[in-house]
Amino acid sequence: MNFALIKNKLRYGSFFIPFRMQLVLLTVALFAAYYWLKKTRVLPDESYTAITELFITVAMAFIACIFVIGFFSSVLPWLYFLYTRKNGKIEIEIKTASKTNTVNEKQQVSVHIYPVIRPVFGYIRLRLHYDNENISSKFSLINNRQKQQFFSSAINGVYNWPLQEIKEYKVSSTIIYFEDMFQLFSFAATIPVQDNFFTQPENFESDEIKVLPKKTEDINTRIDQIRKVEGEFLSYKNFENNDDVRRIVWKIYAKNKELVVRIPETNDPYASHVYFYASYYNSMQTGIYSEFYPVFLNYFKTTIWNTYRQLCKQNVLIKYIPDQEAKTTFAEDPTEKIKYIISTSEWQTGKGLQQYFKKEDASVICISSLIDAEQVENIMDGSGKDLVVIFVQLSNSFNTVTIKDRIKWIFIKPADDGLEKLRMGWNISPFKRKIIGNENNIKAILAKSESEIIIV
Amino acid sequence: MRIEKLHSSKKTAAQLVLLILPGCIVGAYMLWHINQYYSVLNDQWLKHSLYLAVGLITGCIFYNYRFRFISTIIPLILLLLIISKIINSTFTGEFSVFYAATNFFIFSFLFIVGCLTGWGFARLRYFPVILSAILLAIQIVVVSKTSDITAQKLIIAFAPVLVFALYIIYTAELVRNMNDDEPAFAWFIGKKIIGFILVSSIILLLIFSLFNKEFKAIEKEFGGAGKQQKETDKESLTKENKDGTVSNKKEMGMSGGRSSSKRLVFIAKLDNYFPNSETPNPLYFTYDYYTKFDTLTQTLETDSLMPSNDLFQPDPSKIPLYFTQSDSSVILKAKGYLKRKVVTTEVYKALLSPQEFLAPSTAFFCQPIAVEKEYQQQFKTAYRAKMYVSDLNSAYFIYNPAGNQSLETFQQQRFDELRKVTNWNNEDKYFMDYYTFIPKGDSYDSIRALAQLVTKNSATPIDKMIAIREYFLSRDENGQPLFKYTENPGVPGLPSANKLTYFLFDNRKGYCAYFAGATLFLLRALGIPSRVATGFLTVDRSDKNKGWYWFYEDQAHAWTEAYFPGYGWIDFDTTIPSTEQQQSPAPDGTPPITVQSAYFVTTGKVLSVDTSKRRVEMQVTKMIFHDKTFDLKEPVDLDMDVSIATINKDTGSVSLSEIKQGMQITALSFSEQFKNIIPIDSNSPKEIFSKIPHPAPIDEIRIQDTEKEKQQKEQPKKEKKSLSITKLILVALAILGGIVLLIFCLPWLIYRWFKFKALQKNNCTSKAYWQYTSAMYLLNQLGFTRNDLSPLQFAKQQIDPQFKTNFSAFVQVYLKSKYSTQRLTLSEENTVTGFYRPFESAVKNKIPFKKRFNKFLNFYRTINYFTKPKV
Repeated sequence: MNFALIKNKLRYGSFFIPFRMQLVLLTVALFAAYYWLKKTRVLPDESYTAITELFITVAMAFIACIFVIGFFSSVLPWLYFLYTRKNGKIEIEIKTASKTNTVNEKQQVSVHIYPVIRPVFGYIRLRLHYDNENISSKFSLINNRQKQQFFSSAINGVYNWPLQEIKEYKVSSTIIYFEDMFQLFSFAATIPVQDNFFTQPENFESDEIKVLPKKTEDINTRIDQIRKVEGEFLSYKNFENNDDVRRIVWKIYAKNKELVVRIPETNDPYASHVYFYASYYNSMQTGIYSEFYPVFLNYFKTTIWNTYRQLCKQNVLIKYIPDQEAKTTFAEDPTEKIKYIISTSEWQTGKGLQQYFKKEDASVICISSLIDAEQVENIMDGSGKDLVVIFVQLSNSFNTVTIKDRIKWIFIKPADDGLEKLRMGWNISPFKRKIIGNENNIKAILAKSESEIIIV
Repeated sequence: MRIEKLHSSKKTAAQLVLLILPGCIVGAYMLWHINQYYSVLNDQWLKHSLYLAVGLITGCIFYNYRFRFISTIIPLILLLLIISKIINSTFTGEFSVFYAATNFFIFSFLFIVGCLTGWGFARLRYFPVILSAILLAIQIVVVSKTSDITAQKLIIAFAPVLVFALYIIYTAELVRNMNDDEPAFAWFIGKKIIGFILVSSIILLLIFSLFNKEFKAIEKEFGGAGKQQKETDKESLTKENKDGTVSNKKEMGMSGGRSSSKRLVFIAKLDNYFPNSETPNPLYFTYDYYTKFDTLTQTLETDSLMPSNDLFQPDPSKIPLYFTQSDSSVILKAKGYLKRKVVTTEVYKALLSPQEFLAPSTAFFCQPIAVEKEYQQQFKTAYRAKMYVSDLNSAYFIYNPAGNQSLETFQQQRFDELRKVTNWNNEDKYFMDYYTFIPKGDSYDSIRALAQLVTKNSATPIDKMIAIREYFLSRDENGQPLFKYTENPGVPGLPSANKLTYFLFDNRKGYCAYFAGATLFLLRALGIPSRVATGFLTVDRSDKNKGWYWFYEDQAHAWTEAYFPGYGWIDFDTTIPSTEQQQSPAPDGTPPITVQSAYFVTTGKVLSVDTSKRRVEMQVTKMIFHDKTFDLKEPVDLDMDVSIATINKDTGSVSLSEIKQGMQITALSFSEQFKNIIPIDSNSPKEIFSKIPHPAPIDEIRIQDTEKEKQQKEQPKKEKKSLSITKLILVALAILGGIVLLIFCLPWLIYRWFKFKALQKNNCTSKAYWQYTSAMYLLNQLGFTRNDLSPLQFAKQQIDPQFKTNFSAFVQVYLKSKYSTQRLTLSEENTVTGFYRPFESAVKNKIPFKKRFNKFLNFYRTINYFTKPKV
């Protein structure tokens, strides 16, 4: 007998109850009111009793009508959906919403389901089953189409998913709910789905980082647009022997019967690139405090991402060097690619700082409090002035609680970020002292070095 | 300090527009209604609505931020309390304190209610569901009490609240679930609200057209009565009983306005005429006396322990027809011997409850009489009463003459007689203290001062009384009447000190109870023993049927009685004439003048009923024959012919089948056959029975103790039973104790279950499984947990060395049975079969009972067992 398992099963089962709490509570409240009214009807032949009884009947009839309408308006689309699902005609797609659609920089999931009939004046709501055990709270989608057809049988929209961990999630199924306008009934059906999406670090503004490129690299700039017009040979030249035939622009040949090849633009300065290192190495190895690691990781990823953004803004050519095998992504935009890599990275214990960090190439290195001071000392030994070290103090992941905060707590409920318990645990755990001690050691080592040090 | 919001500005705005604004409108509507009833609120519904609206909006906006509820509402309440204290100490005048405190209380109350509702809408998800049920129930109660019953008005009063009740559930959920980032936010909300209006309108239209017939039926059935009783929603001096009859209220009905209903309550023939003339001399009909002022509740109350209690209150429905009940002791207790005489009255009850007894004071005799057949539809029951009345208590004397010259002259004779009384020196001290009691305190002192001021020129008690009456009739410097009659004075709960002073010094508007209460206090302030009487005022309207008086509901009345030694209690009516009140419009009807005399009346139990032959056999215990009463020592069986008899209950005529065996009935006959049998004084009951015809012709049977009454008697008992709090607490404690016991026993019960399964299973594999489970559970409970060890390691390293058992051998077999496809060998099966009992006893031998007992009480170990992986 496993209570956790039973609890999970019960919780999962409760998602399929075809009515909502409103219905139960309304029924109970009305019954209580009816009972009370019945008790007040003490005079049998009075007008009061007759009117009360009639009003009760009318109220009951009215509410019964609402119940019946609610029931049928939600059960019919649900039955249609079950029928379509049985015939295997349901299309569903879940993905990370593209950046153009993001609203207020929230974690967004884009959902598309077809065909679905909406309950009249009612709602379609969803739950996502992700990472094996977890199920999201019930949500309705935000329409991402400016003009939707009135009788549309497709559902398209985004959901601002307040997930805490910045990582890639795997969605295994979707529960779709058909709810009536009064939200009394809620008929559920599951749709299996195999989609992934990832949550992204938040953006925030950081100070400009003075950074010098150290690495030279040839860059071929691809010509995106075909602009061959008479007399203009910019980016193109006529085909000559020994030219790579793969460079022939066949579209121009089809138009002008001229064999033309694309000339790659070459950017070849002396030192072109800023190599950006970020180490996820964890040398603490304390499994019992693993519950704090996701919070640290979020903080670390957010810092790395915003440093990267800042460097991009400064128009330097930047190359992010991951310390772990990057997962595949189909994103074309290089920035999106880096964002994905940063988002899906994890604390690792395999590749220490010395194996990863290349002093001669690196312009920027980002390290965390989980790296032991000895390793930092080793890499800092002889590092020049042109290295920027960003030290992320993970102890800052949890805000420090002041007396003012405690007084505020009496009158104001703190925002529910899901970290209440962890924060309390962090404040009393010996791990905090250990981390802060390590941070102080690292800071002392960094203070001795010539490199530019940024402590976050 | 930045305080985060709980909801977005869009959501807050939506809550304000869609929930709070309609809430303000509904609140204003309700406050408007309340202001109609209580003029102490000074008809300031707009101001009060503003308070409520401010509370609602503040509550909603404030709690849309992350403020905690308890830690913010308690300081607010404390602040309001402190301000209230400051107001009490700042204002000096008694009235200004009263008004400032009342106004501040109203503000605080409405503001807090608003805040709570705003909080509910902002924070509590299911608040609208509860609120809607409450609103619906309240509205049903409020609208059902209306007297103006028309189908249209009922629908208009109920439908909006019905829709509103569902609207708040719908909208609250809509606002809660909406997405702030929805591009067309307003359109999304608008669309949903339009949908709601559309759907609910259609349903409403359908429902009300479906139930229109029922509404019309109610209008038809009760609408007429509604027209008559215009203002039954106001407080009345009468109350309506379960059977629709009317009684005087036990309370004086001072908590609001007075009913001006025009329904006929009873009629009475009063044999009281002026000496040597046929001019009727009407008397007020008394129901009860209010004598005791309760300082705790600040109200005037009736008191069965009042000194010289001269109140005769029989229950006519309990007395068999033509039998009598009398109490001559009240004559002595009335303490009046001058200008007194005995007067008879016959009361025919229309709406008046059969249990009620009303008669001019001081009644001492009651005899229920039969109602003529043709009048039985109108009058259900009747009784005859005899009173010991004072000549000085003519209604003409006690009417407030209010400038009527002839009445004033008439009354002078009475006053001249009463001027003979100058003091109460010879009266009993307890009697005087009781009837002159008013509490001490500033408010009462101001009444005392007023009483002295009003009566400064009056020497005798009666002159003081007249001065008080004149004061109520006096005019102010502008020539306007000082006091006004109103049926809706608004100050509830008269006569507490503050409210009484409010009536006497400021408001000066009231109905009879106010004038009577105020007069009582003024009289008592002067040391004149007095009490308030309630009943009906008598109006002589008809010259046609002299001595007959008709009493309508609006004649329910309260007046003051003052005690004059030798003359007894004398009525004074200081209520000033009403400009609002209209006299009963219906002309008095025809009274049941032709009163028959019953020659033969018997009472007793029913032995048998034959409905086909219309015969009833009864066991007679008492009999009246030609006005002579016989108490039968040995009951006599009487066969009665009831073919022409009417069968009556208190509520009206019923069929013969209503008579059941064992019922107490009274049978009477007006038959000529009895008339001709003239009894002789020496006749015994047996001799009379032998003379009368068999079966005896009976004209009327009255059922006395009905089933309904029995039920009514039983009902309170049942309620009492169900409401026993002690029992409820005991049951709750027993349940709680049971649950606690179960929790503590659960580890042991689980163990018993595992053991049972382990011993009961025949299949070797499942036996091994259950034995392993049971053994592991036992060990876990006794403090031996496996932790990270494998089952075999655990058995080998920890258990076997400790207990000297063969647990490891068993575990090996168990693991084989679990993971291997091979069958168990015979020796392995033997290991399984012979494992459990020796193992259990070895463990038990090693760990003493006391320790085991303690360990089994630890519920956390049980939880630990079920949350750890077992293999």
